[in-house]
Amino acid sequence: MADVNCNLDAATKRSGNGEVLVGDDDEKSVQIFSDAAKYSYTALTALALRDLYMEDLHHHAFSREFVHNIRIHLKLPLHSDEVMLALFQGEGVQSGDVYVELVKQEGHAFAFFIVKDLVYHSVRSGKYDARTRAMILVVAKSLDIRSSLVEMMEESAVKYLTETIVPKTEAELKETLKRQKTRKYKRYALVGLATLGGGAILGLTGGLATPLIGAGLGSLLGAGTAAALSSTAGAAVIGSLFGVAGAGLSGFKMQKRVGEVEEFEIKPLGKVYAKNLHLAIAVSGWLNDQTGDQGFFIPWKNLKISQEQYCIFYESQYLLELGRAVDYLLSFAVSMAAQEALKLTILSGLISAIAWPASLLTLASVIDNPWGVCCRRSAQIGRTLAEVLISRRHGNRPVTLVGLSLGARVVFYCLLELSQRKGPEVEGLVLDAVMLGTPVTGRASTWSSLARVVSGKIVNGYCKTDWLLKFLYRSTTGHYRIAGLEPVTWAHPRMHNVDLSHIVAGHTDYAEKIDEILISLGYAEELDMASELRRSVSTMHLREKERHFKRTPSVDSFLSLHKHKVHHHIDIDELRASTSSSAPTPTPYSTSSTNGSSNI
Amino acid sequence: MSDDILTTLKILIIGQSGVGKSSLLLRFTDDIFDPDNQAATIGVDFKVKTIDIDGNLVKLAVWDTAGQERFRTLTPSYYRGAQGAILVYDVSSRASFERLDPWLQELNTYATKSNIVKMLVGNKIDKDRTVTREEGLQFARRHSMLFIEASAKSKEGVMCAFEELVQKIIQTPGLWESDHRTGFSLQEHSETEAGASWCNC
Repeated sequence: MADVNCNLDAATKRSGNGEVLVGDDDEKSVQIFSDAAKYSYTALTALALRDLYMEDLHHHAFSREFVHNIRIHLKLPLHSDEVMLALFQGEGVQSGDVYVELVKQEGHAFAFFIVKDLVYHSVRSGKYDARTRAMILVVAKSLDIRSSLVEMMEESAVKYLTETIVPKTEAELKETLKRQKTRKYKRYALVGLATLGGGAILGLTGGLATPLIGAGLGSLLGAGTAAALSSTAGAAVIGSLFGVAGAGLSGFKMQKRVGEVEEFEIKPLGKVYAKNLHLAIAVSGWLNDQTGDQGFFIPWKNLKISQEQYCIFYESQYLLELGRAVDYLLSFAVSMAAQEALKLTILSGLISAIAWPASLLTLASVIDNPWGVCCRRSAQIGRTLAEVLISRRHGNRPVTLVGLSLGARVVFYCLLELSQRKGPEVEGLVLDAVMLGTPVTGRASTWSSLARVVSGKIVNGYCKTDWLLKFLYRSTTGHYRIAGLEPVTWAHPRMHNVDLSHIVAGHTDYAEKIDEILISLGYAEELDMASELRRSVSTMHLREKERHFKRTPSVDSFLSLHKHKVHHHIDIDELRASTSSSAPTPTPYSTSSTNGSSNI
Repeated sequence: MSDDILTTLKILIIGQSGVGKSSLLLRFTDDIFDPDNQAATIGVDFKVKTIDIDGNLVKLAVWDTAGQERFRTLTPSYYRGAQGAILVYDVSSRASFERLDPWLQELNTYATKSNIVKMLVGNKIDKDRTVTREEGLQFARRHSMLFIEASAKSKEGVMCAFEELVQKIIQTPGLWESDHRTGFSLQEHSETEAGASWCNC
């Protein structure tokens, strides 16, 4: 904390006589860049947008505007627009390597500063578009900056925004007063300050990372950082980013019944450590008796997309019923041998000619009915989710959606609903969409409409031997494609078909093998020896302390204090690792058009 | 309008720093000479201009590279697919003329089209010259380049240089027809060779 303040002070002093002028920030934050670095910075942005969105006319206006704004932000000459647009349109160079080379030639630190500046530049508008984040991750990857570091930059940006709610100098105070004359700002400020008072919005008190990163990165980022955001109306920006409407997504419940939907609730997935500039919503498929509605949580316990993750509780009664039917079918009706035979038959491609075992067919009605109900309802839930997302209760930040089985159907119908809405508010809302074993059509023309509403990757994880899914769709003709069974034949740089047949053998495996799937897709982290060890050491440490302080009444408070310290340590370690290592770790982003993503 | 465009050609302008590459281009595209705004080019600039060559509209996509040493890593990647290259020197600067060789080498190394049309332009003929026309012409002949002397300031020779270059490109079989980005109709040049060199970008 002290570090941060120091840096803010330093920035103020550097600007001369403590006078901070509005509009001066840009200059201060970009003056560290040489011309060559600025040029490369803009070019890398244009190329990243090209790789992501050149094929989607919907996103062209956004991309052009973004590149144009970056050009202005960096104070490059007007005519540079032309070359950057040409780069975006796919003319000129093929890869950004030459620009990365140029950046490194100017100084290796610039790689870090470019990504940091991109994050700050994007956040200060109060709207963190999913497309912006997707682009930043591509740029970061090309510059060998790990996505975890990008996340830290995002957090530190948020940190600085909240810091600046308290005016620092006389000039700023004047500026703030002037701003407060507009009614809108007043309202935002009130919301911003109120939430800050409660310490809830940023998890400043309970947050593990935020305060520490502020301190850790503070010295690393240098003075320019503070300047980049200092005179922005912090509260207003924070309000816009995280939603001013109140509690956000957490605990969102349907106020009234919409259509058929009986149950729909968004719950935080585990502890929300800190408000992130990016959040994730995970949706499970059917439930079973062992876990009950905890089945909405359990598959996602190792999901690691954001520090702020949610899951959806929906229609548990029907999903439980379906789960029971599936269990019954698998344990009584169809022998293991028959199941294996079915897998092989499906794999051999004799799909239309498949002869379903008589035992299965006679019991079909057991499953067909709940399946039909759940299919209808999950589509409806998807539409409801779309409604929630459009309302921007979560603020102006990107959301990643993950779903398996019927949960993937929820995600798909949510996206489909979004894509049917006109207007720009549905664009730049969803970052990645990950659908596993999806019981929806695999028709390319339907999937291609998702390009407008998904800014990052569209992942279709399928299994070729998923006989249950095939059985459930047995009445459809051979021409009908099901996404969960085969790749979607839509060639698009952001469409990723992932064959999961080597991990899952059938539909029921998705929930069980979800960790492995998520790791292979880069949405969860493998617990390696080092982190395991570190974890055990830190808990040991804690336990020891606990024993030591057993009789003191304030054990809890001490522990929470200590917890902070331990995590501080880890965070700095991570930070060091990510800044020093040049080898990129599995980031969820690999530019689709480049080589690296062949397996995704 | 765009339907009438015969083809789009990629042209590259290269040469030492300060010989007037950007000025030549600005004179060509916007017919402007701005003595106050002569900042060194950052990276690579890009301009598009459509010109009429013998009744055919040809769209020129011109890449204006920076001459400064620190951008030298950047230029090689822009040679890919270029049909024409303009190598510029300053007739009032002996040094700029003497340093033409490395540029030509770079051009020959990185150009992906073997029959790329090369043109040598001696700029700033409005100034006192230290390089004679004869010298320039000899250099151009030796390396089978087109040659023209011009002045971005006085406008002399600028249009002529670009037109001549484009004409030469159009006349070179197999250099431009296969450009996949253009939407021209085939019957207009049915005489073209079948084995045109495919741009593999």
